Amino acid sequence: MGKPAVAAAFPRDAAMNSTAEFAEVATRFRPQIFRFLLASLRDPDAAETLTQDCLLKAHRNWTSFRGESSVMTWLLRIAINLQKDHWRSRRLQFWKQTSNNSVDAEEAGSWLPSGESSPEQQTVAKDQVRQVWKAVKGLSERQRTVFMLRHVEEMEIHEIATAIGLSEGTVKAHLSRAMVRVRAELGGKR
Amino acid sequence: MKFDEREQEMDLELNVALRNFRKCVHGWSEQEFSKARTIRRSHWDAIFRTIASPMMAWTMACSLLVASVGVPLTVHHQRQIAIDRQLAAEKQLRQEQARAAVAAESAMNDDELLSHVDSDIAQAAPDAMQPLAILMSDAAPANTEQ
Repeated sequence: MGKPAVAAAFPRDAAMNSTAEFAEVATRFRPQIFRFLLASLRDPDAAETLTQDCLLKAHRNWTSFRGESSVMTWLLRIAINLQKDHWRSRRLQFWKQTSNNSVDAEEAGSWLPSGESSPEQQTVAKDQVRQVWKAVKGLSERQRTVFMLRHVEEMEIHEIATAIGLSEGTVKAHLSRAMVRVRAELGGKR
Repeated sequence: MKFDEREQEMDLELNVALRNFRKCVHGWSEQEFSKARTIRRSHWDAIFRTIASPMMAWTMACSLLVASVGVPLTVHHQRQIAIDRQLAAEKQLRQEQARAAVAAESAMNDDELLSHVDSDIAQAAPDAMQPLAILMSDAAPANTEQ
């Protein structure tokens, strides 16, 4: 797993405190925040809404950002907290008939780019992706977040630890459990 | 490092599956990101945002200020009016009582005057009638004695 482009450090210098500069940051990192939230929530509308909220919150706190971590890690931390709030509010609204735009594992697996050479390979790839989605669906919120940051955003363990606010050991433990589940879903034996 | 090494040892199938999964998420995200969509918000969120808007906040603050000053003033004013009315009623009652007392006193004086006049008229007799009056006054005790 190479050095991830997504989680690349974006050091904040003294000049980067104006609205125009924040707009540049937002333009640069918005697709990645959206992708992480989309993968975690499987709801494009909710992902878009939370991405907007994340950038709004980041803009409000931009002056207090000290550059102790990369901008992407900081933004992801905000996104993770918003995602937690989103799940919490969804749990509280269990009694409510809400419109659910989330995509199920079957549907999510159909977005595989047609990079495979043969139709058979494409079918196998789609099946694998569906199985991974199914496994991801069964993960706990934290395991899913760690899994997504590691295998979708290709972040390093220490970056994930910073983004979630956990120790590296805890992140590794969550990731191991998530991988066990994915492996079990894929039918692999280790 | 051990953890990374262990991860690298993952079987080929898992690596391929994860790579495909990553491609899937990236492709889906790119497709969804380029779509135009409206942001969905709950009714409560919309209400909260309306209340939290600066104009609404100012309006509410002004209303609160007006109410906090206006209500006590109105209550005080109403109370003052009630006290004034009560005082006016009491004053009118006192005036009426005084007027009644004056009227009663004047009525008594008139009666006394009339009785004086009556007695004066009764006792006064013309010169020509004086002998008869003397007789009447002399005879009266004799009649009484009889």
